[in-house]
Amino acid sequence: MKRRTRQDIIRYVLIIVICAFFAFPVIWVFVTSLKKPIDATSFFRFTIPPKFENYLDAWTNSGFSKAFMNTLLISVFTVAISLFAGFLMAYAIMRSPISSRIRKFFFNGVYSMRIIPEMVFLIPLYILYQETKMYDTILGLILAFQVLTLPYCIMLLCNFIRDIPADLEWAARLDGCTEAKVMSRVVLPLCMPGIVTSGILAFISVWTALMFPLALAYSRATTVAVTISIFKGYGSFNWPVMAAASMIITIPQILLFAFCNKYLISGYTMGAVKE
Amino acid sequence: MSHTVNKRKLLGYMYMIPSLVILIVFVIYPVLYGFVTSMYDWDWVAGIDKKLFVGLGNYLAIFKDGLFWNALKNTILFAVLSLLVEFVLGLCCAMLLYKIRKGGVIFRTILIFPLTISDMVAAIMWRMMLDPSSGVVNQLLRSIGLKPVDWLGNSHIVIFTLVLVEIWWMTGNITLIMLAGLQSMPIEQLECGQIDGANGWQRFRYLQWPHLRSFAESALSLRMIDLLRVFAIAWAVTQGGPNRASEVSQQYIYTNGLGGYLDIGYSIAMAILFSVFVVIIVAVVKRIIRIGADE
Repeated sequence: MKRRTRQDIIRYVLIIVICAFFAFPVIWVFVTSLKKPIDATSFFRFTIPPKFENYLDAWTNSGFSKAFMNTLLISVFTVAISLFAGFLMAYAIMRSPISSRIRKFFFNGVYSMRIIPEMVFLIPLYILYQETKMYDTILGLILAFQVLTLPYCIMLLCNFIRDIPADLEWAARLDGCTEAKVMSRVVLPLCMPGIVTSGILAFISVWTALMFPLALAYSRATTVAVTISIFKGYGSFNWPVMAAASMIITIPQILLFAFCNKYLISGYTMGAVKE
Repeated sequence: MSHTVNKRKLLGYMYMIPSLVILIVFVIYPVLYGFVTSMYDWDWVAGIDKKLFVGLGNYLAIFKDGLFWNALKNTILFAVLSLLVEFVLGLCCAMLLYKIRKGGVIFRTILIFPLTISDMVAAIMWRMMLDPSSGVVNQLLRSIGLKPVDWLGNSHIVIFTLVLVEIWWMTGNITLIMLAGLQSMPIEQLECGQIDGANGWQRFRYLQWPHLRSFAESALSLRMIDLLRVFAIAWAVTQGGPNRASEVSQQYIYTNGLGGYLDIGYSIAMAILFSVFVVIIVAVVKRIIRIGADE
């Protein structure tokens, strides 16, 4: 028994040390976001009382608030489209009576889209967008982000739909449900956890993405990831404001952690566990 | 009966239409367009109308472009180092979390919070923390009597700086997957091992690892795909410097294309060649993990 407790103590010490490494930067940024610029360059100096105006400064700085609202709008609509199209696609791949070869073709095709680096898409989409006047528009980014989120949502939803017993669908069919009702009244409700999970993950991936908005937007449809990269030009003088901006950008993730922890974890695990 | 099967089949294809339209317009068309454009000498600085067919000329030029290979070397070094550290650290965290009874949720939340943060924000945070003169990391090193490190200016160190930021950002992902692997294992097996007197390492090697291998395989190949595509971290922490010592592939391709020199044809050719390398490297990683699977 004694050996047991000693092992436990070692485990706790180890995990606390590791967690300190992972938690420290976030805590540091939060503390820095409340300092005066002159205190920000020293770890050991604090500003008392905390300077909450930094958050206001960040919010009103160089189009940050506009970028924030843009990103919110873009993320929500990107996710909505991906979930709608992705659910139909995943349902069709997993459940429609196509031959297993075609099923595999679609499944692997969607899967392999994840491997293509963003760089391959940037220039063709840029040219396409210049020609169709979609450059620097919110709609353009919503559609471009489908490159990232749609294959991802399809993959995750396929995994979720696979776990729904097909017998349930057949029972509903015997009871006289139409095909549309089988999907919307039987599969869709059972798949809800999957939809929430992939929706959250897709939201985060759009919220944090840098390359597409960098290349496909300029001023009107710019997003927070790009805006904060402009902040970095202020150098060491404006660290507190930069830290405050970083914190504001991270608000959605903090909310998701507070309210949807379960879904986040299953999402980050699912992506890999089943293929 | 066959009538309804056909109807359901048709319906299935109809359900696919929205996705297929999006994927064809925004994924397949750009890839094909890019492939065709990579055969042209098309330099927007020289003139957007001057488009000259050069066949594989751009690809041949890449082989003589030392900077491309430098960036690729940096990318691979960065990805392999990060993957190793992330995997070992992530596996350790997962084993610890698996055994810890009280407070596991809090520790788990701390470990995985970074991976929801934007890589741009992670990069900016670390850029401030690693600042050579007033960054907190060097201040702490100084305060415990160690020499400060030139995290951003020393060409031998910068790649490790990027690895540091990356492992902080994404180790949680591997932790979660390996933890799921551990938790999905029937507990009786482990207890049998304990009764038979296997020590900790033997239990891990012969009981847990065979079960974990498939989890490790997908975790590592997924991480590898994302690691090779690194962009924001290099772009924001070191800007590729000093002297291109930390310039990564996507960054170099971007600078040559839309992000600077506007050498469109050449830039796309590099992007496509780079994709081929990504596919090969990920396949190699998968193969390496499978070694020993059949023993």
